[in-house]
Amino acid sequence: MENGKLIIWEPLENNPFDRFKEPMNLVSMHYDGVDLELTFSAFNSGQEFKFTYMQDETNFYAIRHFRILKELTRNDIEILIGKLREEREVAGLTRFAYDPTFYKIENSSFKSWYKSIDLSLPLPEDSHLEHHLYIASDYFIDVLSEQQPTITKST
Amino acid sequence: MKKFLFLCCTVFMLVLLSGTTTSAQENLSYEEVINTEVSELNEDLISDDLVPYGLIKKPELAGDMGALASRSTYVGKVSGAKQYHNSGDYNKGLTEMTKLGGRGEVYPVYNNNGTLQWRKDGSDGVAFYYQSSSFTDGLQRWTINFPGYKIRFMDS
Repeated sequence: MENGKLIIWEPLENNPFDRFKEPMNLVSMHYDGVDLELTFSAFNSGQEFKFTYMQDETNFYAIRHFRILKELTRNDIEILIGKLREEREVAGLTRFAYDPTFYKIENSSFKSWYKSIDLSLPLPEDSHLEHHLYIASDYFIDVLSEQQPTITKST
Repeated sequence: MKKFLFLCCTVFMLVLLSGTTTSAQENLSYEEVINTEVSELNEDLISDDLVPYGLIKKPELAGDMGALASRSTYVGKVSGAKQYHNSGDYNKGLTEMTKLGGRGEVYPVYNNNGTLQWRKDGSDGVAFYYQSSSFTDGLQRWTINFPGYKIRFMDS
């Protein structure tokens, strides 16, 4: 169960996605053992967005780990979304304009679990390992990576 | 054990009574009378509480899911599942769940964190009714999920 803190992540400049009104359709997911590619599309347009985590000179590991689960199993995340909304309300912030499909998770339980079994990770002060959460229309995808994905858009 | 004895006695008495009545009307064999009356008795006495769960014939849900989908707004298709929005709330969604297949129990399942989910077992798949939190308005957006269908109740 995830107990971390959700942070809204806005990786797209003109983000067409809204979790309920404009769901993010998972078109494909490809992992060849090194690089990870996630392709999403908007239901009502031909636009596709490819998120690529790729091995490069600075990152030997494109990703450290990922998982994909059906939406109905991720009640833990639903609770965190509710908490985040309440925090905004208490802080007097205005209602958010859309339902996000991208989050990062601080103090992530998934990351803690991973760190407990992978001793090859750099020391905490050198590690930039992040937990990225993608909320597609029917799947929740968690990615642990030390880099930001490269995003390409196609129509 | 007491229940079983009581049931046996009741069956025996009913068989005797009905056997007398029937034999006065028709000349049925003892075996025919026994078989007829016992099967009728079973229909009356056996409830879902008494039958082991695995023996209950599960309803087919797909037909009613299709009907519910036709009363909802089509959003798109993903990974083989057609997605719909319905303007109803939590109560409407739960009512729709109970109607699926016409019979069979909708039962609650609690997640590890104490939150609730509803399920209905069909012969052609399991229907789930679960909540998804809205970040904008705090509503729960309850959703019925069944193989090939996903219907969100947008007012919940």
